[in-house]
Amino acid sequence: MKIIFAFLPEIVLTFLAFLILFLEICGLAKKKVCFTIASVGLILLIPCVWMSQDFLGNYLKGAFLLDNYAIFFKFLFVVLIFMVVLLGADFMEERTNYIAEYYFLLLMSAVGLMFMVSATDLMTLFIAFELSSIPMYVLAAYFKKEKTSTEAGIKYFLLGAFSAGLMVYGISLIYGTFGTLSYKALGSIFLVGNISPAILLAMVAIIVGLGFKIAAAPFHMWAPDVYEGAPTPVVSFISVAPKAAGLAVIARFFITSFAGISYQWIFLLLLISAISMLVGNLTALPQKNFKRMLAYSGISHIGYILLGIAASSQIGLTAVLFYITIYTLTNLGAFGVLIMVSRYTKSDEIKDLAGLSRRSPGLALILLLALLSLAGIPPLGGFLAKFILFFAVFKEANPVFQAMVLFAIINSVISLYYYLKVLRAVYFEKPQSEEPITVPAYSAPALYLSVIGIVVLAMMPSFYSWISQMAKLSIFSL
Amino acid sequence: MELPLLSILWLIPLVGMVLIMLTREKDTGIIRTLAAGVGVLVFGLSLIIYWLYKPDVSGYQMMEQISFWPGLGISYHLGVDGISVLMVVLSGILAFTSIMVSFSIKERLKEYFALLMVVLAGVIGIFVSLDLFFFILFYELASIPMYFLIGIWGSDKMGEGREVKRKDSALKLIIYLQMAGGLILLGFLGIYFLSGINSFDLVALSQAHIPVNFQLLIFPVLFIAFGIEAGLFPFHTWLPDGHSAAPTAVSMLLAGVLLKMGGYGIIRIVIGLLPDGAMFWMKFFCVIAVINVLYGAYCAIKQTDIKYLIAYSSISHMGIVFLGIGLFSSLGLQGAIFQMFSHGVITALLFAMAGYIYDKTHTKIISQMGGLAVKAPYLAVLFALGGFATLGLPGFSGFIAELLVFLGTYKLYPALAVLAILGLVITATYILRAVQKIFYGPFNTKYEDIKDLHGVEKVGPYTLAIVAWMAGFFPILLTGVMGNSVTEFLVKFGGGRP
Repeated sequence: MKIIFAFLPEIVLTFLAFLILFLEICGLAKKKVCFTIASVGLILLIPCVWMSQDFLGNYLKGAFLLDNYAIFFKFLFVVLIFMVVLLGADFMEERTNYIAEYYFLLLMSAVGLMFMVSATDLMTLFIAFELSSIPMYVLAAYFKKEKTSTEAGIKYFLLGAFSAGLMVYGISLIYGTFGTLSYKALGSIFLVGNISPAILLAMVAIIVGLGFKIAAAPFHMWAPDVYEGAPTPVVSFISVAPKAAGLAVIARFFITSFAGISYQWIFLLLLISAISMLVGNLTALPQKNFKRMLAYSGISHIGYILLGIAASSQIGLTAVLFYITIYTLTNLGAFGVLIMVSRYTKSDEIKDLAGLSRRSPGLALILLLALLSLAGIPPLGGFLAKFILFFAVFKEANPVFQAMVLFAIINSVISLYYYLKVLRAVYFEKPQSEEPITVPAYSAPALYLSVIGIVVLAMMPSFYSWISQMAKLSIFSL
Repeated sequence: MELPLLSILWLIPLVGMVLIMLTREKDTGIIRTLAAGVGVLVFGLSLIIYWLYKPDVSGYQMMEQISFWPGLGISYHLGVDGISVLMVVLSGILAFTSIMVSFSIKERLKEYFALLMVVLAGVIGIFVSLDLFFFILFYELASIPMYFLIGIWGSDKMGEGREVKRKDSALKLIIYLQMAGGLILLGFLGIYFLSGINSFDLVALSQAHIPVNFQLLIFPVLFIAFGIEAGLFPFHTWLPDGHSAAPTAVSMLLAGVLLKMGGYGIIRIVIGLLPDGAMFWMKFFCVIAVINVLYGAYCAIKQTDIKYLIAYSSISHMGIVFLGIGLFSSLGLQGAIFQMFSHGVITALLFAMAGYIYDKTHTKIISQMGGLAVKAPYLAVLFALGGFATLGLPGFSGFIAELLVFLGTYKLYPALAVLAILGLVITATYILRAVQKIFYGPFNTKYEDIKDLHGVEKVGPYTLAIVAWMAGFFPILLTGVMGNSVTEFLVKFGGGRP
């Protein structure tokens, strides 16, 4: 009985997904019906996640762990998918007839993500990884009549399959050497060192697989094209949820299993982090397409977050969770505005955002807050997140970390340039048409949620102490 | 219970911003009234704070402290001493006058005043905050809106010389200021961890011991970071572009208080927290300061655009501030603070007048004007007053400030003093030439129907001119307030040099 409650969020989510699919088969799935089921269901999920807090523990012979850390991410996923559903409803309904499948795939992908953050066994991890990825490949190619969308899907699938293959290869090396796949068992094996070339190879392969998922450079090649081609609501989902899950897995797996040989993977993470920051920020500078720009900006943010994981301290992990929360909410705010605007302009180019402050002052203000927060301007959330992250990284004894903070600060100044380029169009330029842009009543709450994340959450120290609790009880007391 | 005057002071503009946001775009009268109300309130309250400040009591006064984030050692901590109270008064004066000269803005009034209010809240907050975290917060609050203010309401540089678009100037300014902000953050983190007291509190940190080796390392970083804001050579290039592209009120605020944020930060934080580093590096920065004075003056001679001319003269005058700070003597530091105040007021006056000239003639190119004094005597007199004050005519505040600094310099580094005074001679050249070319000489008939200053336009320039004159005639108004704090400040340096 206990196990049912521990799995309640996943079970309810799967049930919702299949309910929508079943209604579609019966021909009952009107567009608004699917939307209502998905959104109301997701609201009901919040108490489910809340309840599962009383059932912390190990399940399925140690393959599935429910701890505060996992619950935190499940909360986050529910909120993020809820926002995506609200923001994307009109956009998808206008552009395609296959609405039920859209919600089904979205929710199934979410189930995969939820399993990912709870997995404490490499096999479970891999299955969850695939469960979350495959629906996303389909979603990326969802507008099957548009060339760019199909291209996005194929590119995402090919690179995804390749990196998943690499990851399985890494896992098989670990299994071949030690005969176990459990995080905990591996943690005690590596506690005494036990490093060998095969393990190093496995480490690199797993980092490649997860690095693909979070779009860290140099495994980011898919991101710009997928962002540009795939339907914007899908992109907004891809840009936040899988990244959060991938980072959660990296932190959990490396800190629990590879703690004894931390020197090697910390070096690797720092390297990837530096490359991501640099490549992301420099390539974002000349972008003309807003979605492409956000793809590169996302890559650079992954770079910052990886710094926090590399610090692998309690405060570092807290900073990572804090950053992920603020980043995902902020990013959805930016995408939300783009979805609203592109319903009118049918374009994702930065120049077509011109004069948004005249056409819709509210949306322009949300975009202003979101982009300045991404750039790390106080007193917005992005600044607090960066502040705590840099604080945590700076605290490490090794001078390499202090140098990385300097590097990250320089990078975040560079990033201001391209965020301001968008705001320049929004506030300085004249609009191409005076037609005001209206926001559907049910999309507005998602935008408000994002604003709350940007403005209010960050200034609440109690929110920070809650997060530090969520980050504490988990990894270090497995 | 005492009123939290300092919190009220920086919250007034924010409340004003919210009220302005709530009005309708077309109610320009209400928006203007609200803005003017904020200006008067801030000005009045800053004078009250000046009045209530007790110069003979040591330490910070009117302290307010609320624990904000105990885990990280961050608290909301405000307070003023003799140095910052003068900066608060300066911000009050400039808040009032910059709002008063903004009434000529016609388009997108609501957004303009809302952004201006945010800037005001930020600049006031910087001068009263005693916590490094909040210092950064206010710093960004003051600098980010500048981008929009300059980009939307600014003016392009056209005509002679290279053309500069306001959007590019705004971007340049913001990138420089953000780079400074980033370096400041890095330096603060370093200070936080190496002081070993787990606090961002300025008062606590100034008593903590920071390792000498680290001070030597971080001092130039922080000095340059704050120097970027204050127009330190060779990081000054954002300043002329930014100042001259900005709308009048923003030019005034940039030159009047934003540059002073840099100077104030250097005194309060860089030198206050890193005395050993300061002793080691200061000779180097004294020389840079003199280069600032000479280079700024030299560039100003070559300018054809009036706002560029004033901006370069700002760089030259900020050099005097750096020089005064670098002496570690009572004379030098008092002179530097005096100069910050006086330069803030005088340059604001000059920028206000340049703005009015641009409004009325639609050009900023000096050679296209001529003989304007015939038709616009008020414009001419007030601009000339500002010019005379800038070049250090006795009777104005500039004279006292420069006298103090040069006396201090001469005692320690006679050669540098001689060089720096040369800068003043050049200042006289370019200012007098500008006054002569704009207002005297043959009348340019193009401006047959130019209007003189009238009505509310006179309020801002008059206020500034009166303040500059009062500070020049009664320097005790400033030195009396800051004297004690300066002496206390110099205790760290063995009571300061002669």
